[in-house]
Amino acid sequence: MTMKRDLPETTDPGALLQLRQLGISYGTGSSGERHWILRDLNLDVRDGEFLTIMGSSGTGKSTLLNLVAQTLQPSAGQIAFRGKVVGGADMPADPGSGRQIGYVTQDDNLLPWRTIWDNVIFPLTLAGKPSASEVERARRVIDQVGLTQWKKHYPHQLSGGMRKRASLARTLAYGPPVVLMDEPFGALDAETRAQLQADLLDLWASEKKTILFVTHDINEAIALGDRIVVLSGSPGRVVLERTIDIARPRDPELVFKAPTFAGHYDAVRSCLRAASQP
Amino acid sequence: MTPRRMLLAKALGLAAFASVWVLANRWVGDYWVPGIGQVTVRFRQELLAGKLLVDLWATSQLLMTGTAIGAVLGCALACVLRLSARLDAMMQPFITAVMSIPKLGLVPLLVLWFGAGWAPKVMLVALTVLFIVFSLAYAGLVTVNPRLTMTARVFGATPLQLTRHIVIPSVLPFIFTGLQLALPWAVSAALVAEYLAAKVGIGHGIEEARQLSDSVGVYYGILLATILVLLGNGVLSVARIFAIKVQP
Repeated sequence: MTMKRDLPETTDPGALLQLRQLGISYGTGSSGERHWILRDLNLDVRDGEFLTIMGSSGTGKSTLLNLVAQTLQPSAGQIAFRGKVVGGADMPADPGSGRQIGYVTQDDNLLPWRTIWDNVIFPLTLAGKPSASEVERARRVIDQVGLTQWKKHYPHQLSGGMRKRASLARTLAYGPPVVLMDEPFGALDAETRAQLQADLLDLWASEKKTILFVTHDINEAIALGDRIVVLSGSPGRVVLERTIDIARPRDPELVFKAPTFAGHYDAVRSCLRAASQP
Repeated sequence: MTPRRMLLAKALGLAAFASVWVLANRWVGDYWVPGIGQVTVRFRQELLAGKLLVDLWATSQLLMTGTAIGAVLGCALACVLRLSARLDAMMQPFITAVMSIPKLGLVPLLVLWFGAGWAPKVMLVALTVLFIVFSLAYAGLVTVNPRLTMTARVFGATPLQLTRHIVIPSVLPFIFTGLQLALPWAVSAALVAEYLAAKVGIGHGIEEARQLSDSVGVYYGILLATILVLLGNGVLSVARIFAIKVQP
């Protein structure tokens, strides 16, 4: 288990997740040769917040999620969870930060040799025999994503959208307070994507998760997020933070009808445009 | 193809094989190609005398022991090389070199080292299997999906759990393919070992028949060895179905 320490400077005591001066670089030898992908990144995420992260390709969006998931070791800075440092450049990486974090990537990453039920229950079995309440939660989540009839099927027997639902159910059944999502609906057709967006908002509302959601779709970012963060530059840093004040519950397909939608869209688009100019 | 047509095709293939055999027997005579009837009678005789089962069992034991040793060592070697990039770089050229040595050519050396007993025969079979299973297991380890292991690590999987739940299920199909590829070679190795040094076994029977110019006996032995390959393949296919739930 990793050491627990107090974060030196705590700007927002209500923050669930705090990133401080976080950076990652590759290269060898003197600092002049090092190439920074992300540098001096500061970000606070509130408990229960839906944060969407945008940025042109190569600005380190996925890298940021990998750092938070601790599948990558940061070169500088710290990650704190509820005010306690759980990861950083000077401590060994602890993937998942001890059951605090779930990760849904663009690939569903289901184990092909396990049925949907065995896939969903898999993370719970890693820590021993799942408790009755955990099994019950897994059953409920599978029901919520509409896969109850498909529990005994194997992933290759399901459509891409259903596999994505199974992947989502697996992470929710595991029960981490923070869920990282890296363009989870990117490879799906528009109709399936809209359906899954709506389902995700329902699940988020009922399960009270904190979500960090990477997307390249401005509509999606506005439709889902409480706040949009835009990363830009090399090394990547936060160039725009914008609170989305559209009332919930939202219908992702009709969110463009909200009066403030155009303002948000233009702000994010011009920021992304500016970022992609050399 | 419907199952019935499939069966028909198989029957046709068998009939064609039998006709070629009968014709060959007519053309070149019993010494070169004995008649089907003679060989069938020999099968019956040997079965009733108990020698068929004794020989089959002796060669099977050799085959199973050698295959097990070769498969375990091949998998172990693949794991070690996959885990250590330095060992991999060090050993790969030698492995390629040793792989290119025809294993049957090692028989005299193995007999020199270990005598004419059970050990050199098992080693020959094991060596034959080892390199085939090693190649496949290594390829399997390379193709383990890093995204699956990453996901499991975020879920808190330990290295042992990663091995059990991700690595082994990923590599198992490759190992079975390796075993199925190795089987005919392993049977050949067992036969050659038995030609040279054995008191029992299919290979010994073939060699004995050759010394007596008993071509029926040689044909009987070759057919028995073929049956052993088919049996082995059947066993592996059934084991594969039980071991691998989702066939790739």
